[in-house]
Amino acid sequence: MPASVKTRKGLDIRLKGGAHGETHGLAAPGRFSIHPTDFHGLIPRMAAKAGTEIQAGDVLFTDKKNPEVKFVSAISGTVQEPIRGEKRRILRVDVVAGGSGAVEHTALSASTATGDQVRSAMLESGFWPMLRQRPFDVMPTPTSQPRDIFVSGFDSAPLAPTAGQVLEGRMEAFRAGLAFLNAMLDGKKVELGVRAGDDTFSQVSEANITSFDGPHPAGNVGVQIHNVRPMNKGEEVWTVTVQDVANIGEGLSQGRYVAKRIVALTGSRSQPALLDSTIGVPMSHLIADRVMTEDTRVISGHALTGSLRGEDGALGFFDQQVTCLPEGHEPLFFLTKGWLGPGFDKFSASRAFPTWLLPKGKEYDLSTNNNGEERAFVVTGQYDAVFPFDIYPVQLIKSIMVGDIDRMEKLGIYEVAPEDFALCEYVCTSKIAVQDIVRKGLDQMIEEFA
Amino acid sequence: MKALHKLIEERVKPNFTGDGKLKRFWVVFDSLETFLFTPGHTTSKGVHVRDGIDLKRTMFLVIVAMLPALLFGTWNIGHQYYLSLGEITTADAWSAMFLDKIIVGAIKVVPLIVVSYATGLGIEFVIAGMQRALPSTRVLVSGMLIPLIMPVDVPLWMVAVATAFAVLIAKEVFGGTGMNILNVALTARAFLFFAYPKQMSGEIWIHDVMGSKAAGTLQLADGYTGATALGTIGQYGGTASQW
Repeated sequence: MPASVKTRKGLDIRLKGGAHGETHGLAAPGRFSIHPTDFHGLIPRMAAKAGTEIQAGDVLFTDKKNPEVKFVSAISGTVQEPIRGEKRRILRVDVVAGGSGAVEHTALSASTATGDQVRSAMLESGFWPMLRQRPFDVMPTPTSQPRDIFVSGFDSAPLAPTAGQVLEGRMEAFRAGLAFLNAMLDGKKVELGVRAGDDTFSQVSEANITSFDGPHPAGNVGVQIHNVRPMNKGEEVWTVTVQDVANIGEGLSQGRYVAKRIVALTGSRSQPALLDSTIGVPMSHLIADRVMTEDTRVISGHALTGSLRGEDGALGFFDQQVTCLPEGHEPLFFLTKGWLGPGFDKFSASRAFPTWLLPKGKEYDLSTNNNGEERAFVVTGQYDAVFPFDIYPVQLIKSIMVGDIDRMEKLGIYEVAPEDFALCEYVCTSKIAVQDIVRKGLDQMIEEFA
Repeated sequence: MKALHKLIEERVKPNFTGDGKLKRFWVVFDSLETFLFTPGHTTSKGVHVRDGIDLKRTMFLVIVAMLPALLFGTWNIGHQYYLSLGEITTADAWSAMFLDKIIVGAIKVVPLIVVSYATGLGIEFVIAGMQRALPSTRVLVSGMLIPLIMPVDVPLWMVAVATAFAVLIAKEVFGGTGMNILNVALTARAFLFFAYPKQMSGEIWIHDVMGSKAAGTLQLADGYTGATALGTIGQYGGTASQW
């Protein structure tokens, strides 16, 4: 009987367009791309020259601060000139498919590999970037030792695919991945959070399982860390997504780089589907023929934290979902659709709208309209209702806004990542960019410690 | 409604933008336009969908929540007035003269609301114009709360002074909505209490209570605040029957 945690605070935003049914295989994409911007704070140093032929698993670029961290290509082909932005910052590195073969590394056994072997294999074969670290929500340094590794076994975000969908047929790889991660923990086990009632992980013995029951963000790994073993100053915790655990398990035991990704294509502007693809797949390849192009926003990730990938961009490195929503740039007349309208089509956490009276099964077709303009930051208590941490969200946000490092520390900034505040941002009556503020606060803390 | 929006965008807006002759009043135009139409702004960073709630709707609901108190207060002004006149007796006090009570109440309350809003909104617009920021709903709640906590016979100029003081000192000097450490409406009340203590006590709570006194028909309400005994003697002389 696993430990169980019930969270009450939060909000499940019921959007139209969830992906169900069979997973469709997708033809191999003609291009592989990495956006170094997916890794916060990363400064890439190119290792492969434009025009060179590389194999799957060859290094594309390394981390300038930690040269042992390698970012590798998932396919064989020709390296392209990096796409750069302001100040020649590298925005995207492309490999155009062609050729075959893959780089071979020493295969490890999940049952006998030591921590040092796993660590150096992950660095060498390109799996290290799949790790993320708290505090600060960045990639861990190669020499650091985590207190725990947390894996969230479900994604509670709007329209997110279930663990059963994304791990279909990969349970062996997933368990091997957990075993490899355990090796780095000096006798401890990975902490796995599962959704109450989900039996996808019933066979898993390689992790300490805690079941979580509650609305989004119960599936956020930050909430799970907070409820299982909260973090204190000076402690470090790593997190990995379930699909990447399976990639690590499969890759290390076979001695090659694996970057599989089941992607859920969701949202009211798409024909929802589950697509079997890879990390670094161009967005255009995923959405081909399945998305209405006019007035549609195609988001890599879910509607709360997803990112826009620009023209020709690729799926975000950590994303397992594409959300297609209607753009809402029509002005709304105040009595019909606007601020004083009945609002039957709006999904709101506030009782100022009739959402709470309507059937619980109703799904909403939300657009990207801001539903108002940014206004003064007023205290409403809305944040607390959707923020399942033992942390004062408004006070923390305000301490970040004024740059008070001591207070941020006291209010618990080490435990949070921007995604944990996504719902606060959603419900905010003043339309404050909460996640952006949290990111700035974390950056300020990083600078303070540097 | 698209036609209306088009009309505003094409015919009205140019007067307020660029070199339009009314560009000084841009803030007024912008407030009214965003009142009529939630702008078609889309989310740009962070979340891609937003809750339908905004500050306008939040504040509007606060005003809705105040309406019962406002309606009862309006009726009560008339009720206390006729009670003090002796025109209604305790037996039929609740039911009698309903409409008359409302009319008397409204005659007292509406000017209070108008003065409070006019002063508050006026100052807000001027300050917003100076900051090139948006006023909109900022003063709507305070402007309604102030009449609710004013004595019925308070002179209107005092309401205007108190509102101006409260909006400026309690709110704007701290940086506006969301940054004030004092409650605006209560600051207005406290200001009057300390600045005009004499006018703010005694006969001010029941409409025209002095008139009733003069007519000799005064039926007191449950009670009213007043000056000390010495103050009363000072005002009316030593004859106890007058007080």
